[in-house]
Amino acid sequence: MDAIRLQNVSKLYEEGGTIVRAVDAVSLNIAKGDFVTLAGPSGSGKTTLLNLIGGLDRPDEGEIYIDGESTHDKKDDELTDLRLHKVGFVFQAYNLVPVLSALENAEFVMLIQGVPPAERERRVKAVFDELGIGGLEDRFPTQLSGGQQQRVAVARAVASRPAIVLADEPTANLDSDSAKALMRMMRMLNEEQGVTFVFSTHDPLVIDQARRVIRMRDGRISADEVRQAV
Amino acid sequence: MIWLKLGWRNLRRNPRRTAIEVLSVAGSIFIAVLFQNFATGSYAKMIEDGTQMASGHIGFYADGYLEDRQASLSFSVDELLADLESEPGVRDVYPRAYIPGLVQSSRQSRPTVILGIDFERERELNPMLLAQRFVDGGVPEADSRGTPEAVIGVTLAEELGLKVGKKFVVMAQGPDGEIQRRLMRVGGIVKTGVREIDAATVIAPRGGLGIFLGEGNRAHEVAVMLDDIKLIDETLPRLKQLTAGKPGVDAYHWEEAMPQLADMIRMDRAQIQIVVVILFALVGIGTINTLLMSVMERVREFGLLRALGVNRMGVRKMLFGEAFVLASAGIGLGLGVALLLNVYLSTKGIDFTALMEGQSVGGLMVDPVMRSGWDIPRMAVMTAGMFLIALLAALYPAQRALKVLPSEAMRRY
Repeated sequence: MDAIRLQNVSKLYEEGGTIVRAVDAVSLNIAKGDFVTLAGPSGSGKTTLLNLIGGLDRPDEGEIYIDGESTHDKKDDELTDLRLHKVGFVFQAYNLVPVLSALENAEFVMLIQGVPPAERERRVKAVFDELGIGGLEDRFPTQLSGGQQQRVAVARAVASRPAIVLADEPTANLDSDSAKALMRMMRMLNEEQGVTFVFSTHDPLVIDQARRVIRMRDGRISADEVRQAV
Repeated sequence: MIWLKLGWRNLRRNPRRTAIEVLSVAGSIFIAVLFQNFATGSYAKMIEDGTQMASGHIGFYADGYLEDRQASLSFSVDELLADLESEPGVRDVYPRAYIPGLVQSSRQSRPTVILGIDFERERELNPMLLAQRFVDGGVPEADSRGTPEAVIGVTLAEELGLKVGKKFVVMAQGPDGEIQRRLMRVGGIVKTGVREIDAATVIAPRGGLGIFLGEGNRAHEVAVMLDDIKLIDETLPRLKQLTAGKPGVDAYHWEEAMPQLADMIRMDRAQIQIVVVILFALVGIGTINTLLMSVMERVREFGLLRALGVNRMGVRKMLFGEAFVLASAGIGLGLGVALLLNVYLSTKGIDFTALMEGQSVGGLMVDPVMRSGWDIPRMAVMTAGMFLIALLAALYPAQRALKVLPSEAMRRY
């Protein structure tokens, strides 16, 4: 079964009295355990498509299926619940909760899911160690570097063990060493835990790591390239 | 607990704004609790003094007497006194007569109401007969067999040119409608500081007023003081049964016997309730304002939380958590200070002598030193109400936080 399936999905915005098709009739299947990049220039519709897949936004046309489940008729809280249990997000600007420590941020999604405290701590510690940020648990976001914050955000996304991780330009604010380390770690999670990753990026480093590269232009898929080995 | 933790930490992000709101909640609960307790103490004192001097907690009167206080509406009290003295919960029983008439000295005459009491029953507890009130003489030792001795007010004594030991005449209508006269002697002169009382008080032995009351042991009022004022509602129906065999006499709650005092207290209490409602509204508006500003500054953060899987109820809980922390801190501070001050005010009180000089309260003499009480049920209601208002005030900011779509919040803010 596909992890993600899009059928003729469009998203329209009004800008200055003109209707803009940010995503235009996109149909797409992404298999479970895939490692996919949405590549393209700014304004090509990558982030909008990720938001639609993650249920942060609703399509104006078409249908989206996550893990075989249609999101079309879901109410607001049902979509939130779907995100909580099946989707992990990594955003470009880290987006940690400023009043929570690194550990609390990483635990936050599991806490909402109702995962017991000991299990939460165990999972976070393991992911922190894998990400090389062990020992930073008690620091608050303002006390962490950009790379460290992004790794905490990744830890938050993967520690809750979602079926899908959606990452919107995760390396955009990182130096190349941090970006490489982050991609290595995501690749490892993908291979070891079978988590489906979908990135939006125009960073060649991320594109090079992908097993499948979907190129977008003007809201449409302009190319869809599957690579045999990376 | 995560919502409370988040609430607490979010409030710490803007300490000045939080402090202002906490102080506003604290000030409101402080004023509300202190006003309420002080009013409760003052009312209790007014009721205690008023019932002691006039109707008792429960008063017995002839039918129609309370409407126009006609002197002809006296009744025989022998049997009733005997019955009441054996009733459980009854502390004291005071038969009294009220004779409207003229007090005449060799120099002047003054219209007044002569109060006939049994000195031996009332000498210890009647606020008018306390030792410190006497400027001359004292409480007559016993009901005089010859010329009865009376206690009169200092102003009346001055106007009539009377001194202790001097004689005066009481003129009033007798039971047959004819004007009767009774010679009396001044046994003591009292000063209350309340002009209308000092100029009108004549307290005479009831036994010496038979000429105005008619044959037998008669009175216009039998005032009953209970062991505890809270016993009125359960005791009144029982005492009413005592008059079942005595047509024309009934027992009344002090509020029926002294409606002026009861109405004054009710009105005063209503005014305090209005002040409390205004304070509650201010707390509500202040909390909405604080949380709304906080929400508007964190639109992106709310978008992030919703993106991570926090549902609508979770966002509401988070803002309820902030409102709860605000309310807890404010109520804790305000209530703590109010209770500490109330300990002082309930023991030392405030002396209103300068303000009350020469004035009565509802026609009654009241101790000018007012002490606050402990109105626990009302304090509990106000505290719970304040919490409720603060929590309800979080609803609107929560709706505003939920209005923006997660994608919109994260894109635009």
